[in-house]
Amino acid sequence: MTRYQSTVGSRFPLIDSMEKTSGQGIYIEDMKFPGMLYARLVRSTETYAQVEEVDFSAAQEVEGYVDSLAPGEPGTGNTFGVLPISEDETPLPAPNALYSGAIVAAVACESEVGAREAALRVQMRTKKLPAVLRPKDALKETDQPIHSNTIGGTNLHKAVDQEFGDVDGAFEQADVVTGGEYVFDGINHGFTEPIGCIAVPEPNGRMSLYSATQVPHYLHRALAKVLEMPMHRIRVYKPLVGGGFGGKSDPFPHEMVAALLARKTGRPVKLIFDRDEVFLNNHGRHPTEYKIRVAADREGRLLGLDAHSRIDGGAWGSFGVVTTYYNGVLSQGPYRLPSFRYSGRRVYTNKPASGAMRGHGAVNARYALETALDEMAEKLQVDPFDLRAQNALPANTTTLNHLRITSTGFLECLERVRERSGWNEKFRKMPYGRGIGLGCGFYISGSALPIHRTRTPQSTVHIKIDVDGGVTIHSLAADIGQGSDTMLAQCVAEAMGVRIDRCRVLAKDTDTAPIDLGSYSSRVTFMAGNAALRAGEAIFRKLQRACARLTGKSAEGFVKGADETYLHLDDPGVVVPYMDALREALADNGALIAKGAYIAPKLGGAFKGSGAGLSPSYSYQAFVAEVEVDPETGFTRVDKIWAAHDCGKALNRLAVEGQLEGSVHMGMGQALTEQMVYLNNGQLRNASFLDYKIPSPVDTPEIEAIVVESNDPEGPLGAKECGEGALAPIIPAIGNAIYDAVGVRLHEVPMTPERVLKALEQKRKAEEKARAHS
Amino acid sequence: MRIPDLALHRPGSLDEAFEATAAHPDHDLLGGGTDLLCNYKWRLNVRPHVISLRHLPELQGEAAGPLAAGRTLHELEHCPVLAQLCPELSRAAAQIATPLIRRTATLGGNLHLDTRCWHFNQTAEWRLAHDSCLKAEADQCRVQPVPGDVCVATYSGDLAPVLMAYGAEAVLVGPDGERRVPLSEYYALDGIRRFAERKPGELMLRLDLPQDAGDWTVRYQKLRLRETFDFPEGGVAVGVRWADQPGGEIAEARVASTAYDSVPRVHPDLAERLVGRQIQEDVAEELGASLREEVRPMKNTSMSPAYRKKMARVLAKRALLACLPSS
Ligand SMILES: Cc1cc2nc3c(=O)[nH]c(=O)nc-3n(C[C@H](O)[C@H](O)[C@H](O)COP(=O)(O)OP(=O)(O)OC[C@H]3O[C@@H](n4cnc5c(N)ncnc54)[C@H](O)[C@@H]3O)c2cc1C
Ligand code: SF4
Repeated sequence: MTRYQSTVGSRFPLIDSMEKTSGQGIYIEDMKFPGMLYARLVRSTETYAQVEEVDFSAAQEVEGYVDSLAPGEPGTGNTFGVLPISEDETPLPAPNALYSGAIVAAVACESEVGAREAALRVQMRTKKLPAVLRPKDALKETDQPIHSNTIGGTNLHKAVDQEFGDVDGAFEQADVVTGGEYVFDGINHGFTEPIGCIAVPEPNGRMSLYSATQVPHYLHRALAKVLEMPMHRIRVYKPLVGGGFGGKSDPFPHEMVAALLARKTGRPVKLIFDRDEVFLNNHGRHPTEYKIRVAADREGRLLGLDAHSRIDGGAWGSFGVVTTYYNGVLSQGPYRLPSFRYSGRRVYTNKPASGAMRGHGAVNARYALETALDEMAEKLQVDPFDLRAQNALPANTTTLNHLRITSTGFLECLERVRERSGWNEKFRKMPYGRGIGLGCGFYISGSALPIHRTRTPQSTVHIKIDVDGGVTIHSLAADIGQGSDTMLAQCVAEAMGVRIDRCRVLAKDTDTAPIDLGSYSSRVTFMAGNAALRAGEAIFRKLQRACARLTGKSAEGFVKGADETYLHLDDPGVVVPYMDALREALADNGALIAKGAYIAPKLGGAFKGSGAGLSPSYSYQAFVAEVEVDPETGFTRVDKIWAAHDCGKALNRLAVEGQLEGSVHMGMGQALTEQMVYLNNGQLRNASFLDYKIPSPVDTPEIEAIVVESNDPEGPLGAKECGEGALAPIIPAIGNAIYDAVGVRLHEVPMTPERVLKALEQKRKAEEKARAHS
Repeated sequence: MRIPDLALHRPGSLDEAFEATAAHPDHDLLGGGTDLLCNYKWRLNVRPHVISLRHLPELQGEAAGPLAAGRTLHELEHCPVLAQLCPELSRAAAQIATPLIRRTATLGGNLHLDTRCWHFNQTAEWRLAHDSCLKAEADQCRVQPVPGDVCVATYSGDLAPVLMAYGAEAVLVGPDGERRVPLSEYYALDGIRRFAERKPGELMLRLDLPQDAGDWTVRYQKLRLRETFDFPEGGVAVGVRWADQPGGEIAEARVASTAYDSVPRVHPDLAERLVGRQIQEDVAEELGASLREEVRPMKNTSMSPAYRKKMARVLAKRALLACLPSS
């Protein structure tokens, strides 16, 4: 008898790949409804201003003009936000427009062209307010804080201060201290599909919102709050989503505006952003100033970490409270630290909001830490790999801030990447201009605490199977291109012993799907995957009982066999095909249904902010970059990246490698070319893909993805995250490689040619000066 | 993003084209549209009539010649005749924009590319918030706001300096017939007017290279952040004709730059200084240092003027060194 052949670890395309690559997949832009109107947003031309009046009279002249929405109208001032602790967004100004490009009003017309024309004609009367653009100015007292919830009469949004162990003692005792100050420009997710939604007022008085979102459930809640409707009167539907990376993980003002306009006009309203509007909506990585000190003894044992961040939140709270914590908390791995101090400050400024972006909160801090460790290794004259290995967090331990560490493949990541990259032959041995660098990482595999205080599971999955034998999986985990639908299908197929193509995933509709918190914090595989497995196992038990009824054998004795059959352990001759078992299970009973749920274990300490960074498991990375730096121009060319990542277990190798390669490419953008640039008046200068420089395929080096498997004891089939943690290490790997190549450390990221050249010039000057003195 | 309403005219002959230009004075000519229509989408100087040059046999196809204005950049990149005649032009074409754009973009469009500036190449809403500028809806330049403003937007085409280094002449055709202008005299230092003299209805037919073009070695160096997609932030072409053998004494030279001014331009004094010399590191350094002094980049592209100026030295030096047969 042949047993079921597991698909875990094999390579197969995502289940929606044909739909997408053939152009048949339905994205929000493809959707149309009878009588649909097109909305266009009117945006603020002032950096910070009170909106006194909006005049639509010239817009009304446009052919096909239907209606408008202005500040002051019902619902437009209702607050919402992804975190209940800082619900500071409103659909329209109430009454202040907080940045240049902020949404001020909207028009709805019969055609898109008409809506564009009408929006351009809208006039507004505003009263200018004193704008704050620089984080350091945001810490000054003001009579006009951007929000009412700020701290101490300033624009400070969130302050975090944490200390564990004897930090001052550690630094006094230290033989070596390294560190520095770093500045990171803000960056945007750069997903392919622009943001968009369609609000449809249903004949029965309900409201449906179709939106390209990562978080249908949070959107559902926010809509209920803004529209002042019970949740059951609202439906959120997520079509295919063309990338998110955190940039679609908040409920957004435009979604509220579309719904309010739909309610006002009684007609469906479509609202799709242009690329520049995506940049203006932003919610990307926070511009960050980061200070760090790391202490170690002569033997290279880390003694303490002391870090401070000041992050620029822009106009709204978004995920910023979490970001403020993560900038410190997530530096507690993958190294053992006996003492730790962190202070973080997040401020509001009159710029597009910052929020969550792939590697949320961990990326900039990681650059600072991994750079300091590179300096440390140099001072101690040890190899950077050895220093890290020596200080690696062991498995099954807890960090100072009570993060529970279970599985870890960190040492294996280090070993394999060292070997594959030929590190020992290259480090500090290549000619001037060529360099190699190491960067490591550590990331959560799902936030253990849900955003809202609730006892509802974080992920629930339903399965329904009827006479056709197809397995319908209902979930609200949002596939945004990362492949979570495929993962759900695979988990269920594994649990039931059937082919993946028997499974169809409906993870898009709040009317039919059980709650899942959505795609953020790298939680979906771990949480929804576990829920799917449990649901699949429940179905399998029903099928076992059906097999028992058919054969007279014991139910528990049935195991999964090859080619969708069930075999009995005691009697090799007993084989029940899946369809026979299913028909028996359906008899007198009807469709098979089952559910599975996941709740993270209770974790963490009893101090303020102890919830931040808690996760049922963590991923680990060790990356090496090899670069070539042109000392005359400052250009850095990345020749090759070796990326070792501990993902617990690769359910689908192709998907894991895709995530690693994508992370490397994205991290390379932040490392070398991407930055949001503002003019002195707060206007974003480069809100297009020509001027916002995402590396092209030509700039992308060969990437060797090295999959490390630590088989997490709680992960679904051993898996943990692989979509976010892999972004952070690439930036310090490149920075450290630049140092190896030409001997300069970059304190500003991205490390553009201009910045590298400036650092080289400064180094040259300093050397000349030193020579003159000696 | 949508192109505003406009009337598209598609003349099938030069005569029809001249009729159309005369009948609709408020028009733009359209090559591949990869520059013009991007600007239109942002409502930059949109005109009600657009006259397409894509159906004029004189501008494209075998008979029109290897440097016909209607040839696509993709064709320039892969043309065997050009590979012999002026190989650096094909290489420069291959560095423009992206493969997709090069399939549509034309030589004529490239040479007539509108000047660029970060105060200008923005959406209509952005410009509204910024009070716009001289080149669009307002009457002041934001880069150099001086009385009697001229626009100092940056010309960032890659082919013009290379063609100048080969000594190309532009052949223009209008209702009154053809005329020829050296490409180096075709442009005017004004980011709005852009061309020295263009008669009503006139369009560019093709480029002609001098008889001795094949005797010239031309090398082009382009500065940009990404290896594809990006416009030049600086570009230098150097051409040399050897006195006797390649790599020996220079008999004649040309130096041209792009992306440093509102026009692509030649630097005759710098070229003159190369005559009679051999290419060596110090000669190349000297050329670079002199070019650096001559260029005046403005603060209106993504890299800083100071950096672009510094890079003029490196680009010129490398372009000259690359003319050596060994490189
Ligand atoms: C993303 C992107 C990147 C780019 N990168 C580069 C780059 O790296 N380097 C570079 O050089 N360019 C670049 N371009 C600019 C542009 O695409 C090319 O220069 C292209 O060659 C323009 O040709 P076209 O035929 O599409 O021009 P069009 O847009 O059709 O026309 C441009 C101008 O030329 C005029 N014109 C066209 N043909 C004639 C003619 N025969 N006679 C008179 N006037 C004429 C038109 O009236 C118009 O004013 C880029 C464009 C984009 C969108
Ligand atoms: S250089 Fe001056 S006039 Fe020209 S586009 Fe820029 S701001 Fe406008």
